[in-house]
Amino acid sequence: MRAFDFVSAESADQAISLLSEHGPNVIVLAGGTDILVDLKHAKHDPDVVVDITRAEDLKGIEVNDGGLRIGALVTHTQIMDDPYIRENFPALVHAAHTIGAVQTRNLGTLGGNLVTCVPSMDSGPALMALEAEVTVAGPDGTRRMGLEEFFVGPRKTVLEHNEVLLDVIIPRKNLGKPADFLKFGLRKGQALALVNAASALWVGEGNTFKDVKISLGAVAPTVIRAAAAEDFLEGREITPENMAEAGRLAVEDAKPIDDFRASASYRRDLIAVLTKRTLDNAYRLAQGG
Amino acid sequence: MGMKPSPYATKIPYEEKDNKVVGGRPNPADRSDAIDKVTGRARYAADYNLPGQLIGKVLRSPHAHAIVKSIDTSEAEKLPGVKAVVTRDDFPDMEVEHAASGELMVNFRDVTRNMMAREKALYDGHPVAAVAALSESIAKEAMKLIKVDYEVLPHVIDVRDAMKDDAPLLHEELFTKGAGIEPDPSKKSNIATRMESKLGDIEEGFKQADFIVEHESNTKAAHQGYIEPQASVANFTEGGTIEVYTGTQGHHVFRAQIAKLLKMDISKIKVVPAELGGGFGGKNNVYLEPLAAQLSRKANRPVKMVMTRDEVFRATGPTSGTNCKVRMGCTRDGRITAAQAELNYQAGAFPGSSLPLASITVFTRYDLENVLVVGHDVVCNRPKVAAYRAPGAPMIAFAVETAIDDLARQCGMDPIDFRLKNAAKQGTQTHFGPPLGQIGYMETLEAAKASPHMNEPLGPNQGRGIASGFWFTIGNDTSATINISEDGTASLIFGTVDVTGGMRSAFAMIVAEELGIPFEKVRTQVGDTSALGFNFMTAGSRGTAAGSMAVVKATRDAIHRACEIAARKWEVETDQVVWENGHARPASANVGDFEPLSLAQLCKEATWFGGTIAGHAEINVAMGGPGFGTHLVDVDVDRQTGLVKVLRYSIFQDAGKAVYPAFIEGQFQGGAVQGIGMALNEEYIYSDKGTMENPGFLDYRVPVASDVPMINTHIVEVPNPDHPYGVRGIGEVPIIPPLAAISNAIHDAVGVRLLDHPMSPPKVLKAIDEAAPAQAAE
Ligand SMILES: Cc1cc2nc3c(=O)[nH]c(=O)nc-3n(C[C@H](O)[C@H](O)[C@H](O)COP(=O)(O)OP(=O)(O)OC[C@H]3O[C@@H](n4cnc5c(N)ncnc54)[C@H](O)[C@@H]3O)c2cc1C
Repeated sequence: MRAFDFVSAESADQAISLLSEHGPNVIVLAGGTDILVDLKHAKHDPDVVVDITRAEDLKGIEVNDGGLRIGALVTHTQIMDDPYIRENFPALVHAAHTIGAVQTRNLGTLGGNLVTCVPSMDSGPALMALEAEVTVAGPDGTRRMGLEEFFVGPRKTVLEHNEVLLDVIIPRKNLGKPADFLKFGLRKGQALALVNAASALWVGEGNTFKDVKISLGAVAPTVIRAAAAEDFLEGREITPENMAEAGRLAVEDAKPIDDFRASASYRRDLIAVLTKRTLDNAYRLAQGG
Repeated sequence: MGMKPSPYATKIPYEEKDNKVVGGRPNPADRSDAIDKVTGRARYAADYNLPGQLIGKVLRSPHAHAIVKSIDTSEAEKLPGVKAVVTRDDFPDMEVEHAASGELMVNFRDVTRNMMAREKALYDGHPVAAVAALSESIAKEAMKLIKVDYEVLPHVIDVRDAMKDDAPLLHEELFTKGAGIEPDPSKKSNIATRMESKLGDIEEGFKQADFIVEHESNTKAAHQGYIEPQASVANFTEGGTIEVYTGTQGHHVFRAQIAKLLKMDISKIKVVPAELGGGFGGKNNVYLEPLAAQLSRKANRPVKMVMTRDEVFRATGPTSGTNCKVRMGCTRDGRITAAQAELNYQAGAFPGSSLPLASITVFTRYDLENVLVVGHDVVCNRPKVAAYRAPGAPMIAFAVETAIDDLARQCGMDPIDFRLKNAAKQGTQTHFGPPLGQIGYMETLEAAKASPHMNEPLGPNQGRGIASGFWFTIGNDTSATINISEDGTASLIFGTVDVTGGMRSAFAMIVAEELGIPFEKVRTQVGDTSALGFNFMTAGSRGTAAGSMAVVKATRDAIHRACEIAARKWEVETDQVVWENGHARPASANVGDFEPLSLAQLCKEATWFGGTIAGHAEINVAMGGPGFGTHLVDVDVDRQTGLVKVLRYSIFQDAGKAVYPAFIEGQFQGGAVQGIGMALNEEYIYSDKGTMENPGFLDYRVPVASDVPMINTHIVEVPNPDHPYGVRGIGEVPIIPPLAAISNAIHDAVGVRLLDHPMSPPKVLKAIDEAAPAQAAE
């Protein structure tokens, strides 16, 4: 770790101007649970670190005309404790709960998790299955986009050095949409996902899949949607067989790797199982239990 | 252990009595080290700082096997802020000379090569140079400037591969020696030793068998996983003495090793054992200490060295990875007639695995007539193995206790009844030497059988497993001193490092019991090497068992002195005074009518009547008081992912007599959790290049709290007849059964037999999938 300057921003706008002023070798600091590790291992060597933790406009959870807005600085613990989210989006609570341990969740933010953009991130799948959008702010104003567009590759998003992530929005149409998230790691706490998955669905007429969205993590360069599985299910009857078939199709949507953590073939087994189970759980939720 | 028992070793017969303090449950927060540890005030080795200290770092080999052709340190030495660099040239070469270091033996020729590579780098992480500089960043910069010319050689990681005739050879002068084998100088080998022990006639035993089970198990290396990385601060003074502050399980042994490696007098070195953040056998060996001392000598300043977690994984510990073959036979009615085992144990880069210890535990808990145990100690391109809680025993128990389970099933017997039928008891002849004394194995089985755990219902894909383990308790050199302060309170100094098991409190309880004063009036502390005579390490479950013998002797020595003071005051003979309830009293009415004198009162008289009250003991404690335990575990197996979840876990273990039951329960639980982690998850993973893939807690997955249920404990008490308080060693037994118990539980749940460690989800799933067509056909 090399010495660097440290400046603090009171708002998103101020953060953007500080980033522009000191760039391009600058970095934003939120909860620090990713950055501090990176700084120590010299993955980053910034001249200036811009602390955004005092920017009030990046905080807060609220329902407004656009849907559910979660500020980029909201911590995983805050997500777990929020009464509205607990009531309407248990999948987000599960996802937050699987991240690290209590200390990590108390410090780590939703924004930090999305911006770090590792393929195994645990916040990504449930939000993507709920068609969440993000707001990005820079010197030229703000832009909105889906997570599919926001994620570019492993540890890479669309963010420029002088842009910040403002918030994450789950659109109004999906408020209360039944969804489930599952993570499979090789340990209960403090584990990387070998595979994680989320499904969201409405139950259509005649007990059919409606607007079903499936998202997978740790099986491709970024969190992805399982399009083939979704297409297969749309409009079909909700049966265990169809869920199992969706699991098989989801495997084809993914490109899992072989590494010392697990073989690609084992990850494929997990994709099928987790897809099926999240569909099943989301359906149970839709049935009221 | 191969060591001949000395006729001069100390035993004190068990004294049956009602204790006031020993066996009680003081508030664990009253443990003297408890609050400081929780609040962060406890001083671990890395917390020591000496004025003017430098920071030392180690340059390590990135290759698994390479000739170190040359090392050029000139550029590094020129970097401003660098004060010293050491390499192999700064340490004298050592002759072959063996010494005990904890439960394993060391050879100084190898110790010096392990702390700093000489001819070859033998594993990924092997030290090749060390630097001391004004700061860590300068030291790291300097390491980049050291040019090492390596000639990379083919390497071998797996024990079975290393035993092959065409395997790459690690050592030019290694020829297999051992049972019935003369070293053959024409046959270089990675097999350092072959061991053999037997009882009866194995062939005959198999002839009598109605059922025979054969198991071959493989286990990966596992690390002790202590939270505190190795750390040392060394100061080589102008006067030619060395002070070392370090994390160690045995400061006297470390001192002797440092002296040997640096060719110094032992008395010129002082080693201060810091608070220990876990060791489990992994802190029985010197790594940084000689490097820090030599850097300090060269730089003329104190040097502090702290390992990173990466270094801890790549270059310290771990336990042996193993290949074990077991063949056992029994009669239709469940009597074991023959038991045979082959143990192939990785030693790491230098000979000396836990094989000698593991091989005495193989079948030791059963009463057998025909036994054959063969073992091989095999070098391979990995860090030299270190002891790890019951070194070597969990792996062979994995093969044996699962075979027992399968035999029981073939006989149609309950696995506990099968074990009871064959259980060792007092007088049972072992295959390695002496018959067993008074032990409590059967009692642990009976306790398991009667426990409420046995009645808990199991759902689909859930199963119950049982397994047992045995470990001995070593004795060895032990010293203690007790000083009675002027106010009648006691201060005990002892030398078996409190490796956080709570020895300080256990000893305070024993001192309080002996002196008849409250527990709170006793302070206990570990003395540095200048405070006491030689103490062997805290290893082999000896800490409380052997340590307390010296404590009892030292305290009784002080009591004798207190009685002498009373006798002088009363003008009677010392043997006419007895010590009762914290007071000196006349032994009988005939002696005279004297008011009893408390310790505090006697302290006031001490100066006039000869001097301060104190006592000390320097003894070699006799080995004894082996421990036995039985574990019950319930698991749930996810047939689709292979994930094994531990639902319920209960431990039944003979502790001899419990001094501080809460700590014994803690030891039981801790050992079992380490065993569960090893069983399900922990393993060293190597790349094709022979480098470690997972040198960190992210991917070397020790369990976290949410991975394990509350572990039930049941202390069985069959006193050790050769200890005044009946204490047995208890720390190591609980890590032995979990591997086998969990394999047995998985078998009970889903009908597949896992003998490949760790029983991680992909392996369990594969076993289930492979068995599925067969099961479907049935
Ligand atoms: C012990 C441990 C366990 C962990 N376990 C998990 C786990 O199980 N699952 C998981 O997914 N993650 C895990 N993590 C990773 C990490 O905790 C999360 O990714 C966390 O959400 C990061 O948030 P942060 O606020 O700490 O980010 P920081 O470290 O502050 O920042 C991370 C990155 O995001 C950028 N950034 C942050 N906020 C913004 C913003 N508003 N605008 C622009 N850029 C921004 C920073 O510049 C940096 O590049 C773990 C980390 C640790 C240390």
